[in-house]
Amino acid sequence: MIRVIPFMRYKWWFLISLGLVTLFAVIAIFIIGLDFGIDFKGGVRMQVGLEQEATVNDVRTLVTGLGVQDPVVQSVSGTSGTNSFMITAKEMTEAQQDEIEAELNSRYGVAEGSTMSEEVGGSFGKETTNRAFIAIAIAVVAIIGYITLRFEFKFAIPAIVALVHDVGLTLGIYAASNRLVTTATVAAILTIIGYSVHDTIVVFDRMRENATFMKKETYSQMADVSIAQTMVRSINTTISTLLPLLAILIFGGPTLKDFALALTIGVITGTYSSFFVATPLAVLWKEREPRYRKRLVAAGAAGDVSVDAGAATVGTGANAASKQAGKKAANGAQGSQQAVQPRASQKPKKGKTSSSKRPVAKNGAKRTNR
Amino acid sequence: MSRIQRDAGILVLVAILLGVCAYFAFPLSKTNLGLDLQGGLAVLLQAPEGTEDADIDSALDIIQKRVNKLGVAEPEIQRQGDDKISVQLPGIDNPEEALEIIGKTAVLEFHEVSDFGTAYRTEAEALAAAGVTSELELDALEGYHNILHWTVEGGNISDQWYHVTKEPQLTGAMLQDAQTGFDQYNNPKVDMQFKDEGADIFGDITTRMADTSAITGVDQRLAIVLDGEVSSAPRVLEPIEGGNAEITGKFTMDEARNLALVLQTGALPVELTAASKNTVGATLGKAALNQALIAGAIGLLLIMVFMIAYYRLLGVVASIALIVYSIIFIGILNMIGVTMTLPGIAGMVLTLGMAVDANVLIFARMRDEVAAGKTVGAATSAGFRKAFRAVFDCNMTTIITAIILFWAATGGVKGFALTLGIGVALSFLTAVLVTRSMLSLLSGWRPFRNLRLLGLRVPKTNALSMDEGSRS
Repeated sequence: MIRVIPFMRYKWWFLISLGLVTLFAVIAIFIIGLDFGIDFKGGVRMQVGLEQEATVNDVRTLVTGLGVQDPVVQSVSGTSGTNSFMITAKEMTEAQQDEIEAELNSRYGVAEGSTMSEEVGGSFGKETTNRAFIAIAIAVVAIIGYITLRFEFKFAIPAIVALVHDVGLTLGIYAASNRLVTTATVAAILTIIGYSVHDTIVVFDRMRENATFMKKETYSQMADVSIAQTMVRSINTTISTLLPLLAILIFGGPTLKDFALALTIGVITGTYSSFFVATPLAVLWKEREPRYRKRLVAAGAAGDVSVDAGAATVGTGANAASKQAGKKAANGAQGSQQAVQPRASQKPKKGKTSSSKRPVAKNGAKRTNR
Repeated sequence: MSRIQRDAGILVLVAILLGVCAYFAFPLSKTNLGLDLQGGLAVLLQAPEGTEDADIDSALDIIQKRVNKLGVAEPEIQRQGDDKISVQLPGIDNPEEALEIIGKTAVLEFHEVSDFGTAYRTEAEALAAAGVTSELELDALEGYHNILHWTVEGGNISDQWYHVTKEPQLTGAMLQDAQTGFDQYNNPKVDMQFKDEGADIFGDITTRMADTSAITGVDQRLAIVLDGEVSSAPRVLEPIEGGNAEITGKFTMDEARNLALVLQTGALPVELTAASKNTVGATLGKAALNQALIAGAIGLLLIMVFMIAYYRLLGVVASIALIVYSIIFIGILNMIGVTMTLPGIAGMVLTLGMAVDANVLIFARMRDEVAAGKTVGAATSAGFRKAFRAVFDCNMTTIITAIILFWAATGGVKGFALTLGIGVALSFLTAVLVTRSMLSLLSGWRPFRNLRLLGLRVPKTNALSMDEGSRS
C-alpha cells in the first residue's frame, strides 16, 4: 500500500554526499569565519528611524564624521519603513550616540520613539559565548542520554551525527552569506537541535516498532519500510512548521527574521537528515550485529532486486498484520512468512522459534493480501 | 457508554480550563510586554569582582526602592548569577535618565577642605603642593589628604582641585531625608535632613569650622562630595544646628529631583557598571509587536488551511485543538505572569507548528489503520495508541533542549525557552487529549464515518488490498 523506495541501497551515496556537504560547510565556517555580533564580542548597536529618505552611505559618512571607528551601517525595516538604520560599532560612547541622533535629526528628522540602543560589555560577551557552547554541549549529552534510555545507544549516535549535519549546514550558510550571529541565532540552533532529533525519533520509533515483527527482512529493508511509513508525516510536519516560520520571515521584524531564517534552514535539513544521515548510519551499525548480519547474507544470496520488491510487500503485510493482530489471529496459517521465506530460507528457524503472537497474526494478514 | 462519558468529561474539563484561560488571555492587551515590544530600558549591572553576597542583596534592595520612586509600572529587578543585577523597565519615556538614577552609586560624603580652602588649577599642582607626584604616593602618606575635583560652573566654567580630609566627617548614611527646593536666586537645590546622630556631628563640625573662620579670618569650606566629585563646597560662616544641610549649584530641576531621589534611597554599597544595556523607543516596540502578532496570526491561519486542505474534517478537529491550545497557552502565560518578549513570540509561533505535529503523526497512523481495513473508530483508538510513543519522545527532546536553553540563556532568549517549553508540554496535552476526545465523541456522527470527508481515504492502489482483505 505504501511505495517503499529502497533508499538504504544507496546509503553510502547519501552518507558520502551529505558528509561532503557538511565538510564544505564546516570548512566555510573556518575559512570565512562566523560574523559574531556584539552579543558575543561586546560593542554598541543603535537603531534609528528616519522621517526622510537617506542612504546607508549617507548615514555611514555622518557616523564616521562624528569620530566613530569602523561603524557598520545597515538598513532595516523599522517603524518608518526602510528608512530605519542599524549602526553597530565596537565603541560608541553615549555622547557620540546623542550626537549622531541630533545630527540625523537635523538632516533627516528622527521619528519619535523609533530609536533603540544596545550596549554589551566585552567580558559579558565572552560569558555569553561560553554559556552558548556549554548549553549546546549539555543539550547534546542530554539527547544522547535520552535516546539511549528510550531506544538504544546505536540510535543515539546517528541522531547526533544528523544533528551535526543540520547545525553545520546552518552555520555554514551563515558564514557563506556573511550573516551576523546573535544570541537569537544560538537560540535558534538549540531549537534546531531539538527539532532535528524530534524528526529522527519519529523514524527510529517506527524502526523500533517494525523490528519487533519483521523477523526476516534485513535491517535495510526494515528501515526502508519505516522511512516509507513516516515520509508523508515528516513532510507534512515540516510544512506545518515551515508555514509559521515563513510568516515570520515575510512579516516579522528584523530580530524575528534572524530567528526564523536559522530555524527555516534547520527545519529543512532536520527533515531530510533523519532519513539520509541518521537512518543509514543506524542501519550500518545495526547490520554489524550477528542476527542482522545473517539476514543480510541470506538476502544477498537471493539477489538484491527481489529483496527490494519483497520488502515492499512485506512491509505492507507486517503493517496490516499488527493492526489486525487480535481479530485475525485465528486465521493464522502460513502466509507472508512463506512468501518471504524462499529468499531467507537458509535460516528459517530464527523466525519460527521467536515467533509469538505477532508473526502468527502477520501470516494471517499476509494471506489476505495475496 | 462509559467511554462517551469519559470523553465528554475530558471535553468539559478542557472547556472549563479554556474558559478560565480565556478570562486571563483576553483582551490581549492584558499580557505583560517586554521592553522590546513596548519600549523601555533593560540593563545588566555588574558588581566588581569579589563583592560580598550581602552587598549585592542590599544593592538590589536599593535599586528596587529607586525604581519604585520612579513610578515604573511593571519593573523587573532580579539578581542574575553571582555578581549581576538585571533591571528591566518597560514603557519608560526616558531610558537614559532612568539608567542614570538606577546605576548611580550616590555615595555622599562631607569633607573639610584643608589648606585654608586653597584651590589648585590642575591636579598636578595639587599633588605638588602635597609634595608627591602621583595619587598613589598621596594615598601612602599617613593621615594625609585626598585630592578632589570640582567643576565650578559660575560665570566661567573652571576646574578646581582641593585638598580635603582623608576620611569623611559625615556620610549619606546619616541622612534622614532629602527633597528639592530653591535657593535665593531661584535655582533648584537639594535639601537634606540628618538623623539625630548626624545632626549632632554636623553641628559640631560646622561650629568648629565657623570658630576657626572667625579666629583666622580665612574662609573655611565644607566639601559636599558625591561619588568622588565635589558637588559644592560652601563656606561655613556660622554653626548649623538642627541637622539641615543643602546642596546648591549647577542643577536643573530634573537633576535636583533625581539627586534627592538617590539620596533618599541611600548609597549603593558597591559601584555597579553596565555589563549590557538595551534601550528601545516606544514606537519601535509597538511596530515590533504588530509585526510579531501579524506573523503569528498568519502562521496560525496558514497551518489551519494546510491541515484542513490535507486532512479535511480531521484537519478541522486539529485546527480547533490548535485554537484551544493558543488560548490556553496565552492564558497560562498571563496567569504565571510571564513577560512576553519578541523571542518569546517566536517561540510561541514555532510551537504552533510543533503542536500540529502530534496530530499529523496521529492522523498518519490512522490512515495506516484505515488502509489496513479498520473502521474509523478502531483506527482512531489504534492511531492514538501507536503514535503516542513517538509523540511523547519527540516532545521530550524539545522540552529537554528548552530547559537547557532556559538555564543557559539570558534576557529575551530565556523568554523564548520558556514559551517553547511550556508550549510544547501544553500542545502535547491539547493535541492528544482534545483531538482524541472530540474524534471519539464525533465518531458516531455520519460525516465522521466518511473516509473521504475525514481525509483518510486511501489512494486506489491501497483500496485494492483493502477489498481483498475484507473478502478473506
